[in-house]
Amino acid sequence: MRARGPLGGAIVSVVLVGALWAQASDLARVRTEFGEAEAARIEAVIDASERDGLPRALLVDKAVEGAAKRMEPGVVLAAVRMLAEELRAAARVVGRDAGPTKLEKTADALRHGVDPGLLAELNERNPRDFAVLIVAIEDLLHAGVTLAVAEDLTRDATRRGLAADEMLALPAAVRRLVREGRTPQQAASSVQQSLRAGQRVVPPPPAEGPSSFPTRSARRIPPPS
Amino acid sequence: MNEQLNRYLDGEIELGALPPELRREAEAWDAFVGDVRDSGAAGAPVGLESRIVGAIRAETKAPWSRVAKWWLNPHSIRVRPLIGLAAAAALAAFLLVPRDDVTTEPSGATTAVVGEEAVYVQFVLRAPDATSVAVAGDFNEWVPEIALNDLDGDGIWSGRVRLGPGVHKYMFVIDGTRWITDPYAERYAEDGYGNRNAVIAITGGAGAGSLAP
Repeated sequence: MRARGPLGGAIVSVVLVGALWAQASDLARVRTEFGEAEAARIEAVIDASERDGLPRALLVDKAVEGAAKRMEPGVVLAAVRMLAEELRAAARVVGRDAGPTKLEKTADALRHGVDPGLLAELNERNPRDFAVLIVAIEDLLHAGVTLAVAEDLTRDATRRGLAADEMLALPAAVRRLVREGRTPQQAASSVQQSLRAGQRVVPPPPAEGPSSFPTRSARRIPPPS
Repeated sequence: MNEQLNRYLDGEIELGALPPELRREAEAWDAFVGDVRDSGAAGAPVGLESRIVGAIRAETKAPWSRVAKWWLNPHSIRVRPLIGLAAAAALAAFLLVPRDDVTTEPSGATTAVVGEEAVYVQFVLRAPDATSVAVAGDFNEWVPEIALNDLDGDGIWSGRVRLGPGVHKYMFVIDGTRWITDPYAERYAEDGYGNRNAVIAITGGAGAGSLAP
């Protein structure tokens, strides 16, 4: 790199030093907690993953999380390695150029056993709201719907071009039907039939039950454990 | 003179575009201009032009006026592409480098949209035996420093945190050492350390569904 004049040189120097400082400091807490040698082993895994195109921030966060939770260095190293492998698998599905959120949600979905082919299709059809689609699948699973049914419902809804908010209404509608006494599979089947009939899936009103992203203050305070 | 009225008199906007309180004044100006026109005045009074030009010159001679004019008028700045790029990169590096002064202590409504980028999330935990409760998550590098409060001593700890759009993971930390999962979170994720993080999703704006990076 060549800069003309003292100002250019100074700016370039600031940029380089700043970048190096930022990279060195992101694991400062891990170094403080574990010492230089253990931190270096963890950083080696992170550096290698970064060279493979994986988002460094997610792996650093996992290491920092482990340090904060006072985990043993070996445990943190294993957790970072496992996350790196999961992100590599996710990158094979949605591409290495996917952002951290997309990669992380893909990894989550794969962990739940979601079909990689479905994930690739969802990403192709609606890349912008891909993370929302995964959240919808997770919410369906959380509502008790089997993986196969959740996959089928999400695929169907995506092919019909449902918007992100409508996708999030699907698990909310399933939960509402479950509260009315149906089994999760019956509820999902009913929602899917409505979808195929061209009816709009309307989420329940906020006061009736939890939406996908509820206001936390609306929740009941848990009883003493 | 009121700027809207001025624009009307300049013919830039219609009378109907003025607020009612200005319309009467505009009509008075119209009447005045009409009277002048009807009086058959052939031109400006003798000496008016020279007085106006003199006033303009006197005004432009004031130093503060030149400074103000320099700041208010557009200027062309020539920058070498390399230096411009480096300056932009320096600014980006400065903005992207994590700093410790992240705002985390809002006040006001329980959950309020701030612009279209962030919301204040209220965290609540019942922990009657705790002497302190904090929340830590990927939004604050897992540092248990965002303290929840139990001002009335009823064992219900709460506090608000400003979160940007995206999916966030967190846990509560009791007495600075005991990490526990929010028992009433909407969804959870394995943390890789044998526990579960609570997960909260913040959509961008008021209900926009996208969580895209």
